[in-house]
Amino acid sequence: MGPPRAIAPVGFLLGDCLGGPHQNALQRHVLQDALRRWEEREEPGHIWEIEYPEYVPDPAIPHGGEIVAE
Amino acid sequence: MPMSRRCIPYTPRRRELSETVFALVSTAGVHLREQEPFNMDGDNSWRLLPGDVEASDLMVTHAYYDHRHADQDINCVFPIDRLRELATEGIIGGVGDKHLGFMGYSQQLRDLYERAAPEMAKVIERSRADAVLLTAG
Repeated sequence: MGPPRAIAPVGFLLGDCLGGPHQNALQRHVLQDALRRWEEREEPGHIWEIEYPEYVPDPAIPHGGEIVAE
Repeated sequence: MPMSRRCIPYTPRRRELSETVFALVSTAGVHLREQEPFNMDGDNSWRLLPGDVEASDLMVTHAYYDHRHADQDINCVFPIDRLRELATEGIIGGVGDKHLGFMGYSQQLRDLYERAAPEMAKVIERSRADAVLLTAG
């Protein structure tokens, strides 16, 4: 089963779904891109991958944000 | 009517974005600080979050992603403040009177599919929301 409308920010860590903490402008940007999918008529199930150059993954968070058993 | 696993649950929109009230549903493990945390061994329970919830009243319980950023700013995974800003500016019609928090890790897939997900859908259907913004962790 696929999502009816979806975006996937490219390179975002797990835990940074809409961006990093207090990156309000970026969070808003991602949110508005998601809401744009509501406005568009499009084929359901397609996941739009979108790049946000203003996002920089936190180097202090390993494994892409996934908790990995050691 | 049971939903086919092969279908994509697409509902055509019936109103403009500026007229649409959105609820937030998250699988990032978001809940009120006073609510029972999610069970990390697998949990299909969900938490009802009031429409007027303050970001500072929310927390994350989740063992499968690093949520230190969400601990600092819940909007990283549950953009309640960003959504309210868009509503204030008239970009969306409003923010729902109910939101839902879920943890997302479960081995009880049949229960998830047959009970939990329909329950959550019913809560949203009976709320003010016209649409749902779903976020993960």
